[in-house]
Amino acid sequence: MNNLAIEVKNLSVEFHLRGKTVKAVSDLSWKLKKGNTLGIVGESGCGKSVSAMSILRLIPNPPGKITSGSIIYEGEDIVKVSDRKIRDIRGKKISMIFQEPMTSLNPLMTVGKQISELLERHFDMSKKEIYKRTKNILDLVQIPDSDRWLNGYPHEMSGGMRQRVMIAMALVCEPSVLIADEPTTALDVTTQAQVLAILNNLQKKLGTAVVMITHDLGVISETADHVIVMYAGKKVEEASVIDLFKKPKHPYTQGLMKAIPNIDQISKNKGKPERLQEIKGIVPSLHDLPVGCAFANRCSYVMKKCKKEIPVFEEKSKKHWASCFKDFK
Amino acid sequence: MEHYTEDNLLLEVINLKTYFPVKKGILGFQKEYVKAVDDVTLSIKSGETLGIVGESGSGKSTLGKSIMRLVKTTSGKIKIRGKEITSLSKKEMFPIRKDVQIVFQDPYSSLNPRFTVGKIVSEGMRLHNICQETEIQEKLIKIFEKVGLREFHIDNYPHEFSGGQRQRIGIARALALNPRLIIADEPVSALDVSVQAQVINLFMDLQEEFELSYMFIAHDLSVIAQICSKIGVMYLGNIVEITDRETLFKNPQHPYTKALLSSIPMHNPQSKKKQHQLIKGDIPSPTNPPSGCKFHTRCPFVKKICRLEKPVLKQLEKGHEVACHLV
Repeated sequence: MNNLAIEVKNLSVEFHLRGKTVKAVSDLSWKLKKGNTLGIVGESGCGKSVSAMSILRLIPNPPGKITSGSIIYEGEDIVKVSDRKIRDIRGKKISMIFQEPMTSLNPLMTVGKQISELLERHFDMSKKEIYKRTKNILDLVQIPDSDRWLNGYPHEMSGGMRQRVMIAMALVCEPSVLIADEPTTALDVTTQAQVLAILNNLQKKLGTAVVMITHDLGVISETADHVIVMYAGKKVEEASVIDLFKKPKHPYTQGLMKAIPNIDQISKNKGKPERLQEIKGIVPSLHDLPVGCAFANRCSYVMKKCKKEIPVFEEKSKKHWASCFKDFK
Repeated sequence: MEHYTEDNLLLEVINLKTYFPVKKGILGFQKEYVKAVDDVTLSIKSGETLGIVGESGSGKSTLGKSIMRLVKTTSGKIKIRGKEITSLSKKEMFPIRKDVQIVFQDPYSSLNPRFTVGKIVSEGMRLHNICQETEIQEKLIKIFEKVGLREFHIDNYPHEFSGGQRQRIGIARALALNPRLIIADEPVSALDVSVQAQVINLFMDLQEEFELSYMFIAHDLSVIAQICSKIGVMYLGNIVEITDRETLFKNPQHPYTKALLSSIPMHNPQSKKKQHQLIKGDIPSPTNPPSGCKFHTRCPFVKKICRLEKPVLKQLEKGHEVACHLV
């Protein structure tokens, strides 16, 4: 039996805006094993969220459109299945946690109702069972006093609690794939640590495969097994989390790692910390990508070739891929 | 160690309280207060960089705004270069504003969309008569160059810039008045990682060049650590620990500081087995803060005294102050 939870093959997503074509995601492929966590890291506008939304076909069409590629889940191509079928998958088999817990919860509905609605939609359960499952999942995400909160509204909760409710909603149907799109970005560090711990715990308990999308390399290093780095809609590097942090092989990944203040080092060094190594310039706009490598203008190793040709995404060392003309040993 | 006299104190904040009234009851007669800043005392010497770190709701931004007198303070004193400013009128405050400038968090909403950025940056120079009208253009070009913008940018409007560039405009605006102290309120939290590094570097370079002092407010301890030599940790309107960078990382004393440090995700996947020292629950509401030590509801080492008595900042050793009953 194949042990893949989900596979994305050569996915391209385009948006048509004001006569311009924006290639939000181009030719993206990845695989996620059952029970594993795939980290997708990149800065705003790199296409990480769009690629996640397209898994559940949540891209608004128009202006967005999946122009090519396939998403294989349980032997079927999600890109091609009927709308009715995708509605059965959403929330039950593949679910999603969004970044902003305030705007993703319905302010007019009690927390309990929002969670139980999913069970009502997807399962044939008695009211009693639904109540039990709902309370149970709230306990699992460590909402204190879950009986009271079943009748509470989102506005009464803190950001961390709301995000825990989002996790409860996403996991109540015990999906096999969970897509977490910047689940902790809006939270404080101590709350972030709590939420990540809960997520990790439940993942182990339920055997869920997780796609963790974030801009924070710290979160990636703590949660992911395997990582892909995206830049300007393309995958630029892919490796296991240990290999990636040990020897990043794309200049962009290297730059990202050096650009973050490193507490470990700062606390060891006495006196004034050194300047950070910045990546010059800004991300190119997606409707006007340069001819060659999209990172060429910001790269410190740039060669003539980089501005003419797009480097191939190839295996640089065992199970470690990158798209760069230069080989980093 | 250099000996600092009173004159070297650029900013002194003494027992500052900023409360916001919240109306309660049917007719709004009952008043409650959000104690955003509750008895904060700190000082910044010339050339020093103080970082204030805390989670949302800790009162760190209100502290910054209180010092700028952008919000009304309830009690306490703020002295800038020895001059008490809390009771000054708008007019009397005006010349002092030149010395203390602020850079805001959101580079999208803090620039007037109808002004060219040249006008945004030069407005302060005109108001404060920094230089002759004829010299303004020349000075603008210089400042733009300093913050990494080009001359042709002067006539553009804010919407034509990226987030990082807008933050540079915000910095240029503050810098135009040759201030002594810049209060930076979460200046990089809205920016992408790669751009964040550019702006942090800019802050560090400018400090060296203009001998600026900063009060750097952020929720991200790693950003604070990169730029600040002295760090204060805030929790629910109080400073719970304040010391220099090395001591804070090597020898944190307050349980909240310890929790904060251990909550930061490390960039080392092999150490992921390391258990975080998690603290329970969320930050309580500042309208109705817990009695005694405000952290006692989440503290893993809580004792009886913590619930009853509010700890004061005690000096552990020179330059290391902690507010906790247990140290």
